[in-house]
Amino acid sequence: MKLPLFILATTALLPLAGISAEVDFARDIRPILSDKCFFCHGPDEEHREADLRLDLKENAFQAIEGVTAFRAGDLNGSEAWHRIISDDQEDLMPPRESNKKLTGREIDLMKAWIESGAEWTEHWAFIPPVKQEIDVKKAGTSHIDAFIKSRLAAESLNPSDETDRRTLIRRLTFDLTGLPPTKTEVKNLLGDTSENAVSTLVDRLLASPHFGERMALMWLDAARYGDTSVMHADGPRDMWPWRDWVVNAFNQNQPYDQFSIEQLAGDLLPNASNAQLIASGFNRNHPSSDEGGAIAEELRVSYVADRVKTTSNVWLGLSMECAQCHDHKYDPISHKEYYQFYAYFNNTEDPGMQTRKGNQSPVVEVVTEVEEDKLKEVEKTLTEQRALVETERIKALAKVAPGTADPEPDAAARLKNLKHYFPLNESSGFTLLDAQSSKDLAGKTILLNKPDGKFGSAIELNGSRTFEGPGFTEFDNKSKMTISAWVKIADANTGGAVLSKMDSSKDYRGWDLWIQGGRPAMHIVNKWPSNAVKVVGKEKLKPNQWEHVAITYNGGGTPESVKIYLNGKPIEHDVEAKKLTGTIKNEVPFKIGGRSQGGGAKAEIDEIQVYDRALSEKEIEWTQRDLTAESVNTLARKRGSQQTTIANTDAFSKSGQFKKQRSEEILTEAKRLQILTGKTTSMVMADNPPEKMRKTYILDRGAYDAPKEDEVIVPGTPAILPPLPANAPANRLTLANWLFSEDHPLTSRVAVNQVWQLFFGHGIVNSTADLGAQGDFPSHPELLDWLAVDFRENGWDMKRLAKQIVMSSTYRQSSHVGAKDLEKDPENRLLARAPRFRLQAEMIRDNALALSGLLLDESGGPGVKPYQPPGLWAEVSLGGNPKFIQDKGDKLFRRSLYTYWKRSSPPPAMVIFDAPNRETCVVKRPRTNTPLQALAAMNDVQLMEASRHLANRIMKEGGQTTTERAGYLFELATARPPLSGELETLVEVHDRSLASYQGGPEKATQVLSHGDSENTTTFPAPEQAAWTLVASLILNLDEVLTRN
Amino acid sequence: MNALSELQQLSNRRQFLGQSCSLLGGAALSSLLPSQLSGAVSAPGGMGSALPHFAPKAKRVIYLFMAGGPSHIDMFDYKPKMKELHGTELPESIRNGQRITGMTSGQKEFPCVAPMFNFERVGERGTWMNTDILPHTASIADKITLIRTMNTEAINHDPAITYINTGTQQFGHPSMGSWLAYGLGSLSDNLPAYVTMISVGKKPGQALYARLWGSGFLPSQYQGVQFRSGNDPVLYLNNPDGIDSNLRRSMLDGLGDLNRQRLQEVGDPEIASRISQYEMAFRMQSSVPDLMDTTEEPDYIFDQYGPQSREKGSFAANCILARRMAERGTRFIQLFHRGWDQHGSLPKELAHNCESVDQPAAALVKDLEERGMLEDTAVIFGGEFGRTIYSQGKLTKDNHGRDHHGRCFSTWVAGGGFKAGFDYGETDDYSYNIVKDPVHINDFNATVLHNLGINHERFTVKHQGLDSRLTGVEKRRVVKEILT
Repeated sequence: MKLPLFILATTALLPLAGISAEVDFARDIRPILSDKCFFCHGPDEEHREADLRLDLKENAFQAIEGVTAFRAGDLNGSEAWHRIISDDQEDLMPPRESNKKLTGREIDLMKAWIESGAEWTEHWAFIPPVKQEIDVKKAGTSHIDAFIKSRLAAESLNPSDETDRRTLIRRLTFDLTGLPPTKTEVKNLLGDTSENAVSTLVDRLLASPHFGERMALMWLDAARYGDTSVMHADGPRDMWPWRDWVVNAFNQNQPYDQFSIEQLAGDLLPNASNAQLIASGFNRNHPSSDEGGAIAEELRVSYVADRVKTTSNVWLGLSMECAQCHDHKYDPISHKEYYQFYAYFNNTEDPGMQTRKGNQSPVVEVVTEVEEDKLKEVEKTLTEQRALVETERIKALAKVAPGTADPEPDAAARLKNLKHYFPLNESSGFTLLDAQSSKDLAGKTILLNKPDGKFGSAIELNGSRTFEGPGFTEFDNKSKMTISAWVKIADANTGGAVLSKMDSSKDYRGWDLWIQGGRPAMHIVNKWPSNAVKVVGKEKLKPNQWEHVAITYNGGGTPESVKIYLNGKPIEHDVEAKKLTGTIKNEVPFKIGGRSQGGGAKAEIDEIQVYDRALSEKEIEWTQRDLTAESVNTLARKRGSQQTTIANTDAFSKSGQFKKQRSEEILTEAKRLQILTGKTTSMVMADNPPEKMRKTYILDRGAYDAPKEDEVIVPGTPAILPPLPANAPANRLTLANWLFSEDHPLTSRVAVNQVWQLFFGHGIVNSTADLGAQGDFPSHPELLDWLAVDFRENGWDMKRLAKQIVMSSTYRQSSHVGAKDLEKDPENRLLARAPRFRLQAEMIRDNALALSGLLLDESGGPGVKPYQPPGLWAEVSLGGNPKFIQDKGDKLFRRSLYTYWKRSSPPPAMVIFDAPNRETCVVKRPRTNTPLQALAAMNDVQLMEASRHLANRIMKEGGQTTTERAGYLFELATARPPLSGELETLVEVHDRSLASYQGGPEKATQVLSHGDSENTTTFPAPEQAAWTLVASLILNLDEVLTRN
Repeated sequence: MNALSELQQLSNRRQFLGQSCSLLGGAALSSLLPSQLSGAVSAPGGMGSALPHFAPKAKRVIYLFMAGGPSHIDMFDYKPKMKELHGTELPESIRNGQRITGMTSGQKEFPCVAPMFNFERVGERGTWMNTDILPHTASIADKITLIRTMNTEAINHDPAITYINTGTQQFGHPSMGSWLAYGLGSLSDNLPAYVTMISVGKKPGQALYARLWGSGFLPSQYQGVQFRSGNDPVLYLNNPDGIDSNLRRSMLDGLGDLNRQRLQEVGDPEIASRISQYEMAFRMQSSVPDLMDTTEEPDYIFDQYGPQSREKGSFAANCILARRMAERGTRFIQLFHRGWDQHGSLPKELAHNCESVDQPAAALVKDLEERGMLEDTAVIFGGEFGRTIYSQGKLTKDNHGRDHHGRCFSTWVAGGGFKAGFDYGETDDYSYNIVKDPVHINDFNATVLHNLGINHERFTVKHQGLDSRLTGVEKRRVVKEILT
């Protein structure tokens, strides 16, 4: 039951001053209980006082030790009433130390509520929305307008008239595309006298590719999207394919349920497409760290917590993060339920310690359309070339010489253990034939063979060129091995790796053949330097001559297990690491010319042989010989299989045709590799397989190192919300689907509220990210519910929802502010007028670029770096790196959506205009009005350059007289012709400026020099400068900075 | 023109709240109002009648923030017994299972290192201080409270520096300066309430982040305005080449005129606010250069602040600017000095850093005192954590490093209601654990707020349903023992 009450608005709960209303438990009473009482008498079990819960009806009305908090209709019998009005500091509620106090109005409300029967309902947002049908035909209005008007009528306010068409098209174009309308577009609308003119306009805007860009602006804040990793080094990452996916999804009008499911669980969809994998990157946008001293698990837990917070803020409108350390203080979300929700995100593959360089796995490769076409073409060529090579191979084999010599005794035994042999005799190319394993090694860069090798040709290593390939023998710490090669160093003190299979990023695990100050050496490493063997020969290689180096290892894990031979003779060695007990296996490829990262030696190298046995001194002597020549010379019928392979390889390298075809094949292969390796990746979500599933426990006080291991927490959703379907797998996909179940009370409300906010500046629920007990009560609950149900019933159709809203007469009202209206509803929650608000940061810049004709109409791709004041990155970044390098040319004029977002130093002109730093989820930007904004709008080079181009444009297009041009400029920017007073002012500013520039032409030249773009017009500089100043004025006009 | 009074006549104040700060909960809204009228360079008393909660001892704060983790052991927390401990292994009883960073957790040995500097007892109370590299700080020993028991749970830079500056390790919260800008507003009508400046030691070292002076969930007008040493001390401050101040004035007159015409037509008070912001911007174009121009400072001032004080962008130069800002009414001035992360080469690098900060920091305190401003200006000198007694990497005769240490570290404060010539808190022989009187970083923050007349528990803003405050959700205390 409800009863009338005169209410004086003193808080935001009821935004209206001096209106009469009725006590409504959900609107008036629960918020008081929540804010003032739940902290001690709410869902949090641990801190509950006197066993009293005021968030549950049965508890609030139950007698506890003879005392009842609330008795319906019985003020005297309600202990709570006595407590809130008590004079006794001991008894008073809320207690002094809570720093909370009931206002007089709140006390009046409590009184009225108890006396009127203390009606109790569940928190409104947890009750599924119901569509209250209205006969719109009869009412002659849309549902939206009916709800808005009925509330206005109740408050004795009148809606405003429809705004003029010029204002309307500018409003619509910014709201739906983030850009201003063009002159022609304005003209077209004014000329369209049909009844459907506005509807046609809205359809055009919704179909524009800029619609997706505009919607993405909102979504990127919510998704805490950025181009860097945030923590510690804040290094670069490539998540722009995800951003482009978002733009595209909005443009394709992907239904909101599908849009959401793919972002929360695209990776778990059956036969997930590349696009769906990319979509799942939503929950990889969180900050990640690479800080050396960090504890990986602590970080990993913080990533999971971030995903919980973001997911619950964005889709549920709940502050679930509040239950990470204890039961939620206000909403019915227990500590345990938090970890049930957390469990959905806790089985992910990505590690705690992430990279500062690019993308952290798991990732998906992103092939852009252009790349895809190129790849197809190259692969076709490759198939043709391979067939030709095969033909030549057969021809060459037919010519293998029969040989003349008997094989060396014992050669077969030695060669049996020859695992890899690189004669390095091919004349060119950047793959190397392994004459033994028949696997190719691919070079990272083109590398020319040196014709004068030890035997045949050789290759030159310059410290950075490397060859690498898979399929190399995996040696371990107990394996036996021999590595031999001819080496020619240019500098007597050269150093670095000649060959390796070593992972520099994982404690140098693996092995290498190393030169140290000209001396031959070897590392065999589990973990450098604590678990490793390193020996360094005591003799030096002579520079500029071929020297033979061989190193054997017998698997013993000690320095004695290693022998170094120089030109066939064993030499003594120094020991630099002495004990190896752990594995040396790793996942990086074998490399000639360096380690997995860097560390390459500068030397020529020839005749590499690798054996899986420690050869004897005598056998080492043999490794110095020309193995190819020997194999060829051996009688064909007596050749071992190794020798046959070697002889064949030699034949290939001597066949001119084979070499030619093979070179072409290699070049094509390199092109293919280039496309593949140059390819972008995007980070994605991926779960550990069931057998490696990570167990979730409640973390005591939310601390990563305090899991309560007595109970394994299984994924689940809070009990206050609808149950999960029976037998559904306990994974993110189930969670995502659950959000869109028919009886879900939150998802649809939260979504329509966010969209409403886009068009009215605030949501129907003002606290967009919190629909819980502490959130704001909706200004129009029935409207919110109607929209929510309607959105769901109509297939979560985003464009339909947007059109529904912008076609309403509420949206199309004038934004002029009447005195009575302002007094009664200063915050415009009731919408007796359309809101006016400053354009968001991105639109301010885009508007200037569009009006000046500079805007580059191109979508997608990596973030770009337009102008920003110098030194900003360097002032904050780790060790001064990475450095900001401003882009050139077209990239300066892309839409701001594509501006590179470094999160420790975001684009300053965006931040000044209230853009968040994007480190955390933000579903509602603040909107401020500051002098720094004025400075940025007046002085930013980007806007000065735009002013110059805008000036040129009006001088070309806007007629001849100052008045004509001023009018043209004004209309271009505001979509309306100026009033005569406005025109006069503009002309005055122009004339004063012109006089000044004519008196000081060097100033004019300076004004025209801002920005990288050239000034190609032939107008006299003072005139151009004067108009530039006027154009800048226009771009600073309140009306131009505002969506009216 | 007087935009402010015009604005006040025209507008219903609540309008601004709805337009600009509607993310905040109800209670905070009405408090925002006065500063809202003029944006970032607001009139005094941002929280309106709500603040201060009681009579403040300090009006402003100058926070000298040494980013990277200055070694408390080598600067302020010396024990003669350390000489005996030198080279010995850190006992398990001292480390007590404490987690250590990934950088030294693999280390086999943890040899203790006594500071490789000369220490003396200084000041009337005879407190230990490194007189090799902190001779000037030693000279103000009788003016400062030295807290040796600051502590934090964080052990790595990014979380730790976020924690001490915003009161929580989670992102998205306002920095201390933003809280104060929001709560107290500026004392000046043409300078921001909250200013930060950055200087760099020999190497930039650890990163900083915009969030450290960001406004988090408060409106962005409360974020720290970064002042810089280059031509544009405030971003976009200067008119572009070719627009002199006459032309700017002429443009602004035209702009104001057009905006006023529009205001009459539309009636939206937000337009009046815009007009006043542009006028404020124009005033800043002269007030900021005037502030930054130190040429009329007498020579003895430069001498007092040391040889680097004439180098633009140096910590010493920034200290002079900080004093000038304090004089002009900026509430919270934070100077970040980077490069204190001495994992190796500590003796050399620490000496280098102190050469840049010791003299100017001490000079700032003396200078404020001479001007009678020290009593209502709190000067704070400290970092995000301290460093370990044990050596990171190889300990040699004259070289070593130290890893991060959050269990205790030292911060000094002068003026603004803090005791002069006072030591607080004791650590063990290893300067590893607190023996007596711990001061958690949020206890410290609560204490600073207290001196500004703010009860940290009552200074809250509702964010996502919670009454958020600078000092976090745990119970924190004002350290009354260090107050006058």
